[in-house]
Amino acid sequence: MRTSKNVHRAGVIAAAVAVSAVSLSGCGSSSKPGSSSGSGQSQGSTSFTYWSMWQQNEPQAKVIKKAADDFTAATGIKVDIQWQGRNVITKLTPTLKTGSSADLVDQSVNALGALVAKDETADLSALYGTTVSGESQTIGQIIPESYKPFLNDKNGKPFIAPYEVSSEGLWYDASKFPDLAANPPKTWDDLMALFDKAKGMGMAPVAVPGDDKYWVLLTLQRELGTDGLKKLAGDKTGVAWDDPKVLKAAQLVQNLRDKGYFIKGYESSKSIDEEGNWAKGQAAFYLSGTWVPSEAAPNATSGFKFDSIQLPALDSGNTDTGINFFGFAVPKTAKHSDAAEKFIAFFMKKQELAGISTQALNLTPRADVDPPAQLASISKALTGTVYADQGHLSVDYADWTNKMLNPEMIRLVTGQDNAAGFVANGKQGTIDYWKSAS
Amino acid sequence: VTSATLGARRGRAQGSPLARRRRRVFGPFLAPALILYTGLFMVPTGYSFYASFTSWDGFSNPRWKGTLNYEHLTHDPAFKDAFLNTLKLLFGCGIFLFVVSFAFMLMLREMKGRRFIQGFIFLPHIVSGVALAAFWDFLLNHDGMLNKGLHSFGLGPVDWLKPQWQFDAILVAIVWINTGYYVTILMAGVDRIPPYYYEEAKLAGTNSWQRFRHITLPMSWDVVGTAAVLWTIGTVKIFEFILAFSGSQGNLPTTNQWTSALYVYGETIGGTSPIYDFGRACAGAVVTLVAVVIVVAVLRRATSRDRLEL
Repeated sequence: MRTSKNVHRAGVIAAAVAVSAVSLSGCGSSSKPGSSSGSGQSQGSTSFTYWSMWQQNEPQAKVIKKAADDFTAATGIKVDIQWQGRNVITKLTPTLKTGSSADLVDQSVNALGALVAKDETADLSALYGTTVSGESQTIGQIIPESYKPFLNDKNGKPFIAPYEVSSEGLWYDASKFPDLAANPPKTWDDLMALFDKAKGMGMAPVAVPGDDKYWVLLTLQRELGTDGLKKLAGDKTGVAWDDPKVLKAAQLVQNLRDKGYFIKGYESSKSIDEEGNWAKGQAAFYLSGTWVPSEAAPNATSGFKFDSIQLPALDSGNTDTGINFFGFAVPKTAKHSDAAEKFIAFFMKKQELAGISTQALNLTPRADVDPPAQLASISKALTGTVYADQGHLSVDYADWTNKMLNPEMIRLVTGQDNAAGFVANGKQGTIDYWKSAS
Repeated sequence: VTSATLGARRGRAQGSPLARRRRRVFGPFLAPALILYTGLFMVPTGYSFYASFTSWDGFSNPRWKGTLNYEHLTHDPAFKDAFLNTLKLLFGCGIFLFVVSFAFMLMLREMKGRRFIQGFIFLPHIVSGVALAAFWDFLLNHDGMLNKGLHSFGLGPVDWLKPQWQFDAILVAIVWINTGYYVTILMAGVDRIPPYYYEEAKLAGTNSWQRFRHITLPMSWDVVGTAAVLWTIGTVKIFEFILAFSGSQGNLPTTNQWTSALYVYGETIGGTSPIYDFGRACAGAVVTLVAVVIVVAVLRRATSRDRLEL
């Protein structure tokens, strides 16, 4: 038997190298200096590349694909579509410096925010002044004025041409509550009475996932108003959290749990589970976004009629509706921006855009495109005053929202913290957060 | 063989035509791997060290920031969670994993059909983490298989996945996924031990704990040490299972379930509105790297023995 000494130093080095591969590879690739010229107004392009946030088999993708085919037939301009999926912006970002790989890209206002912050999206003012293909109005005219403040960059110039609008509502089965659309709850007490009624009908009043963010956020918005909500994030001293209205909003949510309005076992469930429970009739209400009717339809009991109401006013008196947009943007370094903008003007015409409503069952920004029946109530709410969805916290204060607000909201909803604990942790957490912020 | 003759032999070998030819091909053979490794790996790693001292969005030119990223890390609750969770995985999961793996290994050694069972417990290791996460959720959620099973005994339901338990569920899952792999490694180490040691020990009237303590463990010590280092490195890679298990609809898991890898992802391109703070993410990765190197160094020293060549 022969023995040899362990070469542990070599082992350490090998391990260090292997670990760094794992933990550091995400930080690799250095950026190359490149052209940073403004939106090179290209002319006479005969083709353009479109990177899409959709996957090929999604209904939105089918609507856009059809429009692209129609566009090519009408103009001769070829559209090279690449179905990149939701992380399209992350994939696009590294290509921007050396000349964008895509001439046209789409995502939500929130996701495009990353490009806007870097000043990498083209000013679409000229496009907004362009007449929609085959129609008499300009793109700027078919987009409601109330939406426009949310479509501009910090210089007040539009960076996105929205083709789909989303929002949130308290969803219910109108076949079980036929009078609700005409008489929605006007006060929080009305809402509680409605939940009691649902209980009396043998249903859990509210389906809610264990990682829900809507109940706390929307109740805070109703209690504080949209600006008050933003202050919670932006006030580095944490004093904004001392406002008694914050505690009151938190207590309202705590009461929902304490009174047993939330469906049993929700603490350990995800949104997809609870959406299913709700569609199967185990719960009466579900607070979520405009995607609910199309997503929950396969699970819905027969005769289920999707409809939604908005949360009632609270102390601030605010009854605004949150709004989010999905739309096209043109990267500043796009080589065929002219063709891309022509396509936008083509897609915005009623005939093409209607597919978003009829096929993809979503809302469009055009008032003359009828919303799908399931979304009629939300569509009506959106004709009133609107505010940037979730107070734009997830963009303006994305890191704070991830690290501070979301965990605290979950703790409140699932009863790990009571209302007072939520306020105390929120205040301290915000102070601590700003200490660590870059 | 004396050192003098060895020296003479080496001298001849250096001069021999074969050795010269060998030396000539050494470079060309090594170069491709070295270039790839340096370009794709060492340079980005070095750059990451540099980036950790800058403010960098992964896109614009990095701006020098000194040690500010590191100072901020000490206040960052998400990093504290991530670092603590990584330690929980490393030590909590690690100790449990090795106890379970040893138990399996001892059980399987003397079992018929051990290859089959070994294959069976190895299975989770080759299935994708995303699929395993879906299965784990299916098993543990409120209407899941486990609660249905409990219900048939008139028990439960238990909220296995309530937020304060969710990371524990992840820890258990990680042990379940990795057990087969480490049983296999340990088994390979133990199988080398000549059976006559055990025969002789049995004749001496030892019990099975004594045989484990005085034969199995010391004679497979180098394998245990290697397995421990592999595990340490492996814990830094644990990522997709947690993302798939705790994240939903493109959202990141909440920060109390982050590990170092998720921290890097969350600070850069993860989630529906990414942060693109590559500087801070790199600082987090560097801190984790240093911690792991220390752990590995300590492990190597602690398990350092004269290797047995059987």
